[in-house]
Amino acid sequence: MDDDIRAYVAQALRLQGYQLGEAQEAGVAAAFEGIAAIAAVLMQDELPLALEPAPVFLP
Amino acid sequence: MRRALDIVARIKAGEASALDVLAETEALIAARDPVLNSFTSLCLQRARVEAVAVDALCAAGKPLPPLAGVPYAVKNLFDIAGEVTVAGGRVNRANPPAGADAELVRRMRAAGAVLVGALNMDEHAYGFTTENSHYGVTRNPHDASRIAGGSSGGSAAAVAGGLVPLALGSDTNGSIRVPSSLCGIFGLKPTFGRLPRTGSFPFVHSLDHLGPFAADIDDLAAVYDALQGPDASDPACAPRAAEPVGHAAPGIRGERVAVLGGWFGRQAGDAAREAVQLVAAALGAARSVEWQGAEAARSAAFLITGSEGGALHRARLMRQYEDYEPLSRDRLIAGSLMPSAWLAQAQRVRRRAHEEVMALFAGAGLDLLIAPATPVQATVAGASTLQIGGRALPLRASMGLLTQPISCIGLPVCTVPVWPASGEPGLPIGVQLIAPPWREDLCLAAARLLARQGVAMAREPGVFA
Repeated sequence: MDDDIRAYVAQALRLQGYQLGEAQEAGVAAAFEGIAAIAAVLMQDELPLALEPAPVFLP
Repeated sequence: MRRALDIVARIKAGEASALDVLAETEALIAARDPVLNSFTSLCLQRARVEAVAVDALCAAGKPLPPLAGVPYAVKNLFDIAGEVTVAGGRVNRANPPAGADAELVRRMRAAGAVLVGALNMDEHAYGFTTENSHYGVTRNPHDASRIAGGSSGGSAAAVAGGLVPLALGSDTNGSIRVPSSLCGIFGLKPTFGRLPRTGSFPFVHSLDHLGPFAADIDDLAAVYDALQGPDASDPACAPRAAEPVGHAAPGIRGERVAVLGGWFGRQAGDAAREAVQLVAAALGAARSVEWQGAEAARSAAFLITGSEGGALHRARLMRQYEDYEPLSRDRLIAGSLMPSAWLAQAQRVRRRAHEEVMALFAGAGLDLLIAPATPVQATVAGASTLQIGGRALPLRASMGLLTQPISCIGLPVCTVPVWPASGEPGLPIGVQLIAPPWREDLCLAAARLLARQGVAMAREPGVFA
């Protein structure tokens, strides 16, 4: 696993107040790695500045 | 399998009472659910009260409501007055009982339907398999060694197994469409905002939909009509009057129907592709169109789900980590740690995805899009991967690859059951009929056409043959 991801997850867990054991933290880091892989592709997309988010979505 | 509208007709004709129908239902549940594990609780005392009320109307010669005496059940994230809403979780068992019925349960009661119990699901609706560590695996009525799909697996299995003719479920990323596909029944995910969610346990507020399951397309339309209408208590429910579909059948013109290619073709196995071809041929759809942003929309749904779902459960995960589903608790926590820029990007991609598909409908002159509902047929319980074209993909995330892009932008979808010659013998797979916003009538009309042609149908559950 990427050391940066492991470090990010460890710090983010502390920041949010989670108190997990080592094995639990590793499980979260593995799950986060999957999310990060998907996010990495999505974040490469430079969207038009005028494109607004859809925080409350109604078709 | 019993049809809901046949039950209503029998009761209206005096051939059976609602209590008779309830007794049949109890016997079917007692005989079949030990195999399926679709129910997590029964509410038979309440059911008797509701059935007696229908029989009293009959005895008085009063008009009967549209679903008079029809037994049904709900995914266990719907509030049932006096019962604890567990939402598939052990962590919720200590919650107080619901003070009132969910709005859709209230509407079902007003329509004369008889609630018999609550149904199994993936914990907090986060999954596509209904392999619940607390309440067990729900089994597929066509092969009990296989999953029913999820997260509304209990709802689909109970209908496909012939226990009840109707059930309600929820769909955040595919949780009505995936189990409908794997169990071989009809499922409707209406437009986001069409049906109120008041009194249901949330998962992802900006993606949660509720909807019905049925083994018969006319039953599905009838229950959908009974559920419609605005509700000011749900801020996402559109202030839109009910638009009953009834038996009206808007014409489906083949030249205004197209198969979704690209992402939806690449992520489909042989059986899924064959099912789409059968449906396309029956509807006269000769065209294929590509939505370039489908994969991005799926990614956006994935991130939004992780972030909103993780935030929703964060406080309780800190206190009660061990009580949560081992299959999903780490994913929930990971979602709560996402940088805000990822969520903001996902929401902007979501807006763009909506614009792309609206342009596809308008620009190509389309009323309906066709896509597979799941990449593959039901997999064996306990499996961790699925195979598409020789690629092994993680099953729990990948069963929703073809449903997530659509629910991300809130479009109405009817999933229809097809029985392809290729793939696993005796197993169904679903096809999504996708319409523009608020055009559930088109999805249902196309589904009805396919049912009339014998292309889409539920079959008697093979497990009990």
